[in-house]
Amino acid sequence: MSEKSLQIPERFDFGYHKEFTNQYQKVLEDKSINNIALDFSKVGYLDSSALGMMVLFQKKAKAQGVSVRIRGAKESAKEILQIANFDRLFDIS
Amino acid sequence: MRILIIEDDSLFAEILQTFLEDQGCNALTTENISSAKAQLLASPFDFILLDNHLPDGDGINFLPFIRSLKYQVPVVMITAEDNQILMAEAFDKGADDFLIKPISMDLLWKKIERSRLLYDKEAYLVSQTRKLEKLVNQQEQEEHLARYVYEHVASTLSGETECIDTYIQSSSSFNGDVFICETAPNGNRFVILADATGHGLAAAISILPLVATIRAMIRKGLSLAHIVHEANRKLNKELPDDKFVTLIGVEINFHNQSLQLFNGGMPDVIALMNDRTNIKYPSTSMALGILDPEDFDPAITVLQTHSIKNLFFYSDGLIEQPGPDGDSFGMGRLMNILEKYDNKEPIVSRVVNHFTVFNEMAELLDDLSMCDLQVDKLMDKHLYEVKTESAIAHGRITAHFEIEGGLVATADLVGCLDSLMRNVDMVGDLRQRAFTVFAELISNGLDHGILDLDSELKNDFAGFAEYLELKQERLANVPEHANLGMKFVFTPATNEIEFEITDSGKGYEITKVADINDQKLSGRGVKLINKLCKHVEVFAPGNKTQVTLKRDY
Repeated sequence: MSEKSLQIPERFDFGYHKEFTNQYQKVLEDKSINNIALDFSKVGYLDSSALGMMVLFQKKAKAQGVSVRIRGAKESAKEILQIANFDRLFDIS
Repeated sequence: MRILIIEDDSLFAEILQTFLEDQGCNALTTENISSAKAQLLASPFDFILLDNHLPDGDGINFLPFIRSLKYQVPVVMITAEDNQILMAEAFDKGADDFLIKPISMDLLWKKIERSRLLYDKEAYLVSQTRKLEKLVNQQEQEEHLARYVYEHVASTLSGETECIDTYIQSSSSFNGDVFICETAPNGNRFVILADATGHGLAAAISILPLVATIRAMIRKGLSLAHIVHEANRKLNKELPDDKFVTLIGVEINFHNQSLQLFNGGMPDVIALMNDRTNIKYPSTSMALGILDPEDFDPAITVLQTHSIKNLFFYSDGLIEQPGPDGDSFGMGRLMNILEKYDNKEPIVSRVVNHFTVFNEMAELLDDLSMCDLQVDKLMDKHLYEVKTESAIAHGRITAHFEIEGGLVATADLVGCLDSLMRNVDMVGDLRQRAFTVFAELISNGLDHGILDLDSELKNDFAGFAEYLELKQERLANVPEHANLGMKFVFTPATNEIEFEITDSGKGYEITKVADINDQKLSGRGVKLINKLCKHVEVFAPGNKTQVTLKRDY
């Protein structure tokens, strides 16, 4: 079981869109990876486009049988994820 | 590169020309200013080498002419004197660089390359800036379009608004918060606040078709759960995966004094209770458009209206607006305001005032939308509604409907009856009660009688999608002999309606159905029919029902 970790920056918003997409596309191309952890330990701010990007990513990963979890989410980020009920889509720790 | 050499020393000019052609350039020579002028006006050059001493004038005085040309071209001056005052003047007049005789060819070439590079960079910058301006312009136009369409649609969207205090302050870029207030034909009141992801045209595209759909569904008498399921299904299908709509939906049922609440991805809804406590109702469902229909569970909360004074809800633009020192307005501040609320002015005014002070007139980052649903006032108003009297003291209308086979699937029977009632000017209260009863009886006759669907499935909020799918399947295969017969009689003088419905199904045990908990999904059921009607009779084997409704019963 190999898990790859994707580091998310302090501001997770539309400006990060291109970079995030590039990163996850690369990871999904590697067929040996079954689990991905989004490292939220630096995230202080995320907006609705970030939520959208995560949904998109989760759908693609799910289609390949890859599981995605969120790790290290701090107070404010965790709150936003909870209001959006993202605990239904991701394991959040 | 095309280079023009303006030099009267023909030997030196030839040396320059040979050198430059070796470097791959196309070099032309000319001996004086007037012929140089002619050359420059005849065709464009990429570079100019200009000697300071020419037979018909000083090179330095030719610079302004070069700068006046329609295109920008680098100029390097060649001079015999090492005279810094002269060089400074030349730079002022527009020279790009200098070379002092005797010239090092290497240095000449380096200077030519360098100047050319700087000119190219600047030309690129200018074209990029132009492109950017064009895009910004286009963006602004799209914003205007989105805002125009939104305002014209939104202005037709707020229906009756007494006791429902809504407020939207739009941010400068259209952000797509929308309110829908409508009364359903069965008298239930709907209030919905929707917020689409994105700004401008993106937000408008997500939200406007949804709004039309929701409005149509309310008018057909569908329940909050059905509306929310359908909205999710539609958005899931029609929007890209990373776009969604957060939504708060409230359905108030006057008949059983209850309120259904849906919160999908919006901040906490706050109920200000009669006993002065405040209860928060956080989001219990994902926003619409993310989950597939089978995975979507709206988790609707059912509340009793008698203990609620006001229901206050808002979009995230309120709590996330940053103040001058970077702090957001926040839930804490809002709860504080509500806790201290003393009824001296409307809640919305109170919150807006605090917000304005907090924000200090700075620009709004997101639409500011909020709603104060005055539940107690609304319930009272409905109870004590002034009853209008009808003018005519005699007359009767009788209608028979019978639908057979495939048409059972497509005919909008309830809508038909509703139009009929409106067309005979039946008063609102009676009509709404009748609509509720007919909708339930027809639904029973069709779903349970003819299609043989299990009523348990319909009562589960989460299983609703499954129920709808199964119904679609069975409707597609409805047998030829399926039959739904109805008789409707309205007598204005006594304000009584008689309604009879017979379905071709095998019937059901009325006693079993009476046990269904009325608090569930649509709050309908046999108990409700019994409550709304003066008289109810079910004929064995259970596929024929007769009811009588009377005004003021």
